[in-house]
Amino acid sequence: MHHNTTEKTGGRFGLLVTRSLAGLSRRFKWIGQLLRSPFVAIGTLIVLAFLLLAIFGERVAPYDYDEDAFSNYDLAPYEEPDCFAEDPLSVPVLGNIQIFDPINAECNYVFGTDDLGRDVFSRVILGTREIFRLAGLGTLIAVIIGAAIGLVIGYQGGWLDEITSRFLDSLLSIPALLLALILIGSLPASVTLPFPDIAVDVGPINFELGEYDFSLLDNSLVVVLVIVYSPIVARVVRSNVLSIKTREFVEAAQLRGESQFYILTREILPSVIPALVVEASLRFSYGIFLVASLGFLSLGTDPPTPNWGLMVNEAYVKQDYVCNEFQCRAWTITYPAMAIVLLVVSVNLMSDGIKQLVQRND
Amino acid sequence: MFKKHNKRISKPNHVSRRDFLRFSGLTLASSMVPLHLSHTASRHLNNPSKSRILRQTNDLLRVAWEPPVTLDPANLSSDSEVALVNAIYDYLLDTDDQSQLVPRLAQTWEMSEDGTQYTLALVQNATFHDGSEFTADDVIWTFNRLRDPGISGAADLLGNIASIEAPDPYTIVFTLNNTEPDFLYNLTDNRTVIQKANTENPDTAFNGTGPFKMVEFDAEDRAVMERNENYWMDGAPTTQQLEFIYFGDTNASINALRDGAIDVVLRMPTRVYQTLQGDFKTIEIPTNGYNLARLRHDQGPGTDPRVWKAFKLATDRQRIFDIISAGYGALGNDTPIGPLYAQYFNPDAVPAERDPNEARQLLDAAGYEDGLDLTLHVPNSGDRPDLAQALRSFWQDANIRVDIRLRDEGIYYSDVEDNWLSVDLGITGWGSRPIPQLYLDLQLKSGARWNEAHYSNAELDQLIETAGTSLDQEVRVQAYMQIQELLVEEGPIIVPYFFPQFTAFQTQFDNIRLHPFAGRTDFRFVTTEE
Repeated sequence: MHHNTTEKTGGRFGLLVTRSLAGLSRRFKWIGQLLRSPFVAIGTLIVLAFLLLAIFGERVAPYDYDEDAFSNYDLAPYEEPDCFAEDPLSVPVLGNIQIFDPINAECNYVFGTDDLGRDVFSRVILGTREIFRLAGLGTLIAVIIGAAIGLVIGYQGGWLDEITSRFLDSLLSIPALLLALILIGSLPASVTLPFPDIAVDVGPINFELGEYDFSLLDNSLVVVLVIVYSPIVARVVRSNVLSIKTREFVEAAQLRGESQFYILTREILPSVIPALVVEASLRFSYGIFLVASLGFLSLGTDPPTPNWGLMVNEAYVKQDYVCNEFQCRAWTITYPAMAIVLLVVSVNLMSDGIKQLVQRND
Repeated sequence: MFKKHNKRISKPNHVSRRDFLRFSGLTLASSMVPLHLSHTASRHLNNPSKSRILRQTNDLLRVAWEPPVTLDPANLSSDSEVALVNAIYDYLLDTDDQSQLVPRLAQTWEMSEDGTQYTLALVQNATFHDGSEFTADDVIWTFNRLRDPGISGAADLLGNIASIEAPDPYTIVFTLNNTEPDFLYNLTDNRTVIQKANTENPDTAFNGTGPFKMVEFDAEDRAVMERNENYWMDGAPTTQQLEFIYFGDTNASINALRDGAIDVVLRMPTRVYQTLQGDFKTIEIPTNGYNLARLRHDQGPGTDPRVWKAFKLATDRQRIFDIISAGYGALGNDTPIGPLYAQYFNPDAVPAERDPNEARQLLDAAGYEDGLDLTLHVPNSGDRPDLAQALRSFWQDANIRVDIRLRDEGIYYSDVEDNWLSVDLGITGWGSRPIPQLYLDLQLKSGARWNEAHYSNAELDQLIETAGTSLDQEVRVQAYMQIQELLVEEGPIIVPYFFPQFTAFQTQFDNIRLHPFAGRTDFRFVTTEE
């Protein structure tokens, strides 16, 4: 009996697994579709790899981004293979600093070090989070705000649409980089968020609210991205809503007497989401580029933050790219620049794939 | 309807391709940003064909500067502004790279017995560019204007002058209220170029006695100047046409130098200077210029002297000197008096060895058990951002955590609310001056105009007074020695190193007389090799 039960349970479990897998494969069929094109697959994998680096960067980077500013400056990336002679596993990407060869300092610095002795490799890796934080968060908020605006004005129409659209158009008429420069120049160092004074002290729940100074210094680029990109998203969403709102299912909902909020969120939004996803991925790649560009102009970010654009700028200002008999430190400029190129191209390939997928399923 | 539908389908596809191509292009371009920038910058400057022709006759010298802002001599300050007036006008006196007085419009000078009168003999064959003769009246008019606090930024500096008289057209007598042994150095101040008496527009007249005459001036592009045929000094200047070409940043000017679009670059980060060696003629001279770090002593954590002491103890000046300045220049000792002032320099006044643990204990004692969090304001120019990162790294070991905020130099030194005189913690660049007294009077005396640390010490004030007024050289030297001992112990500034002055120029040129203050570099005697 006992035996039987186990068998039965096992059978059920097996069935469950099979079913879930089948369900999963159905549900995630799009992954297969997405990865059908090798370019898209490569792009997507690289983006995912960068995402993992953004999350687990500390475990990969052998040093901190500002660590030991002076010990070994201007070291070239390692060249001799004897760097690993002792232990082939001591490739820096695998782990922490102790397993490296302490005698042969070059071995520890796969991408070399900069003029202050910081590990370029670690700075590039840890810069991933910075770029994802700024470009990702900026894009996300821009998409949410832009979608909300687009939904409302597209559905409402009339003078609200007219006025808002013209305002958004006027913002769009300014080139993104120029608008970003203007915004950075005019943003205050911090804004005071006017939370009401509330003190809660009930058992384990214990907190106080009140005026909160939100520092814009590290977040100014997020704000810039939101202001630059939400009008673009709003316009895309609006044009989608204009065509969707005349469809039968929307009219049916209106006849049923559903609230406007219900119609917008339950009937229209789901139809807009594919276009929104495509737009979001595109905005993200533009966002990375804008963050890097502003970093290169050393705006909105201060050293020693490992912003790739700022790293390129720092090396550029010192003419590290000049190679003559006295110096050649091109590695301080090439690796962060390559990281920008790689991520932007990959995100583009991925968004291309998403676009194809969305169109195929339309 | 069909058309519209079709359009809807094809549009995203089309955009996607285009976007992709555009983006690939952009990303590729991004990797070539440095190259790209260098080419556009130099192409922009390569166009004047006139320059090319003249250049073959070696009669043209093109110098890169940053755009000048203030042109009224009474208020100018930056190198490019000083360089411009130094070409158009003459000073009464110059200093050389050893800080010795050099005659210019004033040929000889002497001090009265009691030290309150200085008599200068002027050159007798100088004329202004408009043809009028140069006399003592012009000197009196210029200095009276410079002494007017409503007009001039030099009024404080010249405040000790009681009267200026001219017994004859080529003699000038300065009478002082109090003794001031370094008074003649005030007459070398960057703002004291001699203008024609009763000049209407001192900022745009460009009517000087100087070696070059203004031909064409655009503050955002260039200043074109030609040789003053009637210059009072025989054989000078040696250059037919002098052009100052204005660049927005150092890199653009360096790239123009590499492309042959300009001949001389001055003032550049140490690293950039190193890249130019070998390809160009280079000169470096020691100066007394320095970057200091300071904390306000009148508010916030700086009110407790132990806090600043902790900063000082956490700083490794030698390593900063070795790495940021690459050994060029001289090691600093937290005083503005460097080894260049040989007789006044105190080699025994050396700050304590770095000890982050003791620094931590000092912070603990001052009530900062969890350390300090501060923002470090840094002018975004030269080696200053690197210096800031080095200091940040050292201070971290003492539990002092700073966020670096790079500031546009022009704005940081302007009168905005959070400027260099008002922020808590900051880095400031101080140019080289021929005598130490100026730094003390402007920067460290209680209530001084540029006392950015808001520091006040009665003992120091007394020593500064003695050093500045005593006629007994032995007493002055002694005072300077004591000042350095005091500053090393408890002064409000960290001076990690004294930077050198650099120039790099095309190899056919010679005899560019580089000055510790770059703007005072002398281009009058430049020669060329065929």
